[in-house]
Amino acid sequence: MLFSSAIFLFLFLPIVIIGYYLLRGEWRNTFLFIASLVFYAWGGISYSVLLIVSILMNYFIGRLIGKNLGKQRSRSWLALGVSLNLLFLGIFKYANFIIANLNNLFEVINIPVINNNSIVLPIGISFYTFQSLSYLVDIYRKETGVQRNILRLGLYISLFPQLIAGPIVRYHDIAKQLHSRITSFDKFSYGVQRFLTGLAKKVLIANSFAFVADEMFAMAPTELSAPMAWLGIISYTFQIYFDFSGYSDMAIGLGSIFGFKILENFNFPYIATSIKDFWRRWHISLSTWFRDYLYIPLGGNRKNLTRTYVNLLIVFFLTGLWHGASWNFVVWGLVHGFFLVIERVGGDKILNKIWKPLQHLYTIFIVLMAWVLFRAEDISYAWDYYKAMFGMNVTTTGTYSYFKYIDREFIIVSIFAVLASTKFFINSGTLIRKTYFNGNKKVQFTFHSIHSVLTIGFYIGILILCSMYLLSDSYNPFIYYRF
Amino acid sequence: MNLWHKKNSRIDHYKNIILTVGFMVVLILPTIQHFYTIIPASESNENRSLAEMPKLDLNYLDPFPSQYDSYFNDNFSLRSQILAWHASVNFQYFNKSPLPEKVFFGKDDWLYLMKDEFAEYRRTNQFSTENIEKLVNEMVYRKKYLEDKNISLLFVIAPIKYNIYPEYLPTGLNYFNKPSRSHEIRDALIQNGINTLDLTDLLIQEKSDELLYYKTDNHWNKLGGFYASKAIINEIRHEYPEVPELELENYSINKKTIDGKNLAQMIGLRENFEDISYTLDPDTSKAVQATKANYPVPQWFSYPKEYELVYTTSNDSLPNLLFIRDSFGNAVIPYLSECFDRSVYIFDRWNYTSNEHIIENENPDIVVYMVLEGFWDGFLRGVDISQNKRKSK
Repeated sequence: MLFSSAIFLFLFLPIVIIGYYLLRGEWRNTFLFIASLVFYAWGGISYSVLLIVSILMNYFIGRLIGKNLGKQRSRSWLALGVSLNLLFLGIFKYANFIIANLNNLFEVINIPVINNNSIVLPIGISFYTFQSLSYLVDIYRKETGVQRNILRLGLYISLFPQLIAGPIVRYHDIAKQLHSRITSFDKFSYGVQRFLTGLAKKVLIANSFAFVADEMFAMAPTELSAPMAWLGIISYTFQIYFDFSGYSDMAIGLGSIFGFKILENFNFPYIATSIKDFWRRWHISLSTWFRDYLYIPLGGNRKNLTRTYVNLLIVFFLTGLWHGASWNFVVWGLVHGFFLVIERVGGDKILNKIWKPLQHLYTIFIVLMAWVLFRAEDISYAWDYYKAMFGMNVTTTGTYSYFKYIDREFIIVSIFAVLASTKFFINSGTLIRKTYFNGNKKVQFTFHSIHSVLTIGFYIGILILCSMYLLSDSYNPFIYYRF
Repeated sequence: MNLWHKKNSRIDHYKNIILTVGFMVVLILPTIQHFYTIIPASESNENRSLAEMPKLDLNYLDPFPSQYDSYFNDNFSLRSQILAWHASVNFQYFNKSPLPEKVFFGKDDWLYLMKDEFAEYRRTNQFSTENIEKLVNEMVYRKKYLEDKNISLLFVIAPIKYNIYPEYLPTGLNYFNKPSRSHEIRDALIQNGINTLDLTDLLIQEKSDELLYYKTDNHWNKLGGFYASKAIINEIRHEYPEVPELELENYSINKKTIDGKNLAQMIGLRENFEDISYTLDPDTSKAVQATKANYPVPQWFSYPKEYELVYTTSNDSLPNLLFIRDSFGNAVIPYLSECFDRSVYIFDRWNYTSNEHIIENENPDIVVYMVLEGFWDGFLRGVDISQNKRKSK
């Protein structure tokens, strides 16, 4: 089920909120768990069996690890648990990719190819598998206790706000909240504001850019002029940020409505001044997951320099592969890894000395160029797209007009998108607040009252506006559903 | 905590309560509206049947969610009101089509259909050589099949509005300088001996005095339909000189202003647009409706009543016609029907299949396939359907 769908907004969500607040104690967890299963089943009933098997498997292996803590056996159970989770992911996400590559090799050396019955990717499998791994490793590392209540573990793995597109919640960050959490009007209202901010990012901004990006990437690059190719990739750059960070906002907001505190996943990534800085701000939950459960166990930066660089490249190779079973995602990951290594080798020292706007420009240029790999169907398409961007690929017979894309609405949305990618709105808000809080008490009170009324009107207005766009058959699918 | 701080906290608290309640009210409102009308409904602009409540089959649950989604969206209690608001916001504030992926605005309030036609005009949807060969081979087969039965074949290409009225397209919208699919298919058909009539040049030639297409509809109007019919009849007369000519002098052209048509309706702005409706008087055809053979209608066809239309002039001296068509056939039916003894029109779900069962039953003298150039993909599917039917025989 999509957050930005009528059935979610006007049927599922009100039923779950009302049901949740009518119940007390452990019944709330049970109810949320059942609601999460229904939410997941809506996207593929057959694959919910897989989710339930994953919950059961991790529950029992978790208990076995906990029972044998400090003994060699606990390590063996962890190895088994990690292997089984990765096997699940391997079969359902990477089998097609592996077979296709093996078949390419077999064709070259004249061995009969393997028959490939395409396996459909279950939505969210990358997210919930990583959460399950986090649970097993956290128990093994004694960072948290074993969860003896299967419903609570089920709720952790399947909690619907972040089940299918993150943020990836590490078990030790949420373990206590599964046991007890506080709900209040303040938290509910904060949740509503975050949820609606995310919904607006998705429906009003990301979908507008998606329309343009999809059209450009649907064309043969040989028919794209350089400005159109740039328009396409800039649109995609905005689309993916507002789509994904919008989803994270909605997840954090929904979590807050039900009393959970889900950690932030984005921190204005497009204002980063280096690739290293970018990865501190983009999909924070994934990069911290890889840091905690892969980079540090590999030795992190505690061994020699060469080993650190190799570790970084391994992490980014796998980050790319995590996003999709295709070589273009791997190359995308490696491009980021490569620039991180360059910055570590000494590039950061040079970067820090240059004018700040140039630091931003360097970062956004690398990020934007890498998005071509991320969006393209395969590497050869990406290569042709790069050629189109630099005017090396345009047929002399082609003409194209911008009328279809650059209209008044697109210009307004673009201005909003640029400003919302920076701290403009946050800084403006702080400035206004500072100004009226420096005034006398009466002025403060008046401003505060007006601000509150405007806030209510703004968010309810956004909800109505988004509903209007949603029901009007606009572009809708979330990009991160694919992972 | 001082008094003012307390007051400010109280405002925050009230704000949070009001926002929470307001949010829930908006979420629940459509359900309340479902049972008690609070906001009156707007006119529905959707020219389609809405999804029905799916049946829950416990043995096969997978399709249920998507079917229920369609049902929920189609039967959403505030749907018509929300669609109307959305259309009006886009039109009034952004001067843009509320559904740009379906309809876009040209100059002087002309509207153009996006789906199927935009890419055709831009020439960005080329067929592979194999596909063109496939279409041509099928038509060569049909020609041979009909020749064996002593039946003539005519293939007609109906042009999209873009190609007749490009001057009302937004400035800068142009096509790639290469042959369109229609050009390639037309040339290949002619090279392979298929009698092919492309109406584009004729309609461009005739458009100077009066409009031949609606401004707010993707179809040609009755006058456009008349010119198309006249050209088809002229082509048929080479082989059947007994077929009477169609002359515009026999009619008087009348015009009236009407509300926007299908494209304006599609975007919910019918009343915001005006169009011109042409009638050729006398508006009554000499042909009358005749008994249908009731051929089985293809599955999922949205206009079953239009699938088979039969007319007769009860004039034995004239030949019989079988006409495989799409919606562009509507405007030619009244004129063509006057020129034949019996004329059968089959709206073949945009697939233009060979329809051999109908040919064998009707035994016509002439078979015409008229394809709108936006529907070459449908025609290609029709080739597969025709070939599969022949294989299964």
